[in-house]
Amino acid sequence: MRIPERAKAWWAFVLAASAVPTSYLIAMPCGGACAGCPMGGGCFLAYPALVTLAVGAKALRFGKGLLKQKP
Amino acid sequence: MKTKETLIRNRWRYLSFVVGFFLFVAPFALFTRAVYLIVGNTAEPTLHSVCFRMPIDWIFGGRFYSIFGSSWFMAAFVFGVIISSIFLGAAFCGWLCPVGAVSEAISRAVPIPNRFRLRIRDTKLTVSMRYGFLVGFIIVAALVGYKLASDQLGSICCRYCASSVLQNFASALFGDLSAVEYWQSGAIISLLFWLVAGGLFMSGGRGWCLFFCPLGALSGIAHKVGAKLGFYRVEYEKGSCTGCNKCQDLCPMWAIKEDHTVERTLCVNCKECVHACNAYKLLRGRKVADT
Repeated sequence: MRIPERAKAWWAFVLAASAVPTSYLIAMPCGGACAGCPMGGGCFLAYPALVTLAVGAKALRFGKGLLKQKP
Repeated sequence: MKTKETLIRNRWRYLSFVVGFFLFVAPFALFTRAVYLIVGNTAEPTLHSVCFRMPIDWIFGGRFYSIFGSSWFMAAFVFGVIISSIFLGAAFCGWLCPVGAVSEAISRAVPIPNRFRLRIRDTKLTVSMRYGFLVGFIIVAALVGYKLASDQLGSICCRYCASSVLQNFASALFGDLSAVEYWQSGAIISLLFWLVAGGLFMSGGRGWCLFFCPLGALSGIAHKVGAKLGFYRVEYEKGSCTGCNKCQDLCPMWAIKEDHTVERTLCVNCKECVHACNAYKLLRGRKVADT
């Protein structure tokens, strides 16, 4: 594996490994109830919004690719 | 048409998923019920009775003794799945697990074009993320288990658990109205990651299995060890490959690398690549000559 690829893989590993404890600690006061969380149940809206953003970005890139193909 | 083809191609695996649902999910939980009957346990079994994550949490959280306690059956089941992966590959994940089955089924049944679905083509990146999340799970288990974090945190496997979500869906569906009270933020996040982000909007519909299932990740390691020792595995033969990349498109676990070889830690023995292309063969015994 080349060095940049290896670095990318390690970076992904470290990000993923740190994401779990971080997100877990952020959600700590929630105690398993939406109203107790500092996000106030915002995750219920935030996660679909994140997915929509990601899919939207993908669709935009696809659209740009189509436009580039045309003369 | 595509859905029909998928159904025919995977008929045995999908039938096995239905069997898996009846074996592990209450009110049926036939497998657990049978074991409870043999050992004289009078508890009402559910999917939690064979929690796929709790024994892993116990071990890394310093509660090793729990696996010898009243929940020994749960630990025996999880270790059984991991050990069987050495010999059969991660067959439990690919053929029986009801959690992965539901998200994969939803992904296959809802005809969203693939261009709107997320997919990581680089298997090294997928593997890094998968095992990164496993390490994160272990870190939280240790933080909570060794009282380095607040007691209020509770166990990671119970807070974010797709199995609980599935069990409560099933219980509510079969008339247990107390299951309706279950919903809390952790359950909603799990539901979204399991069925929406990881199911509907991920190619193959196995986002939860890929990134958030510690049992799946450990089974992947066991399969890699087993394949090196010459047990059951899928092998790629370059000579028969036409380069159509159908194998990469069909693999629900994104386990086909750019050079079309199989990433063992991700493979769940679903045989999609074997059905799609002659270049993939199921093998046992020592490795054939490198191609």
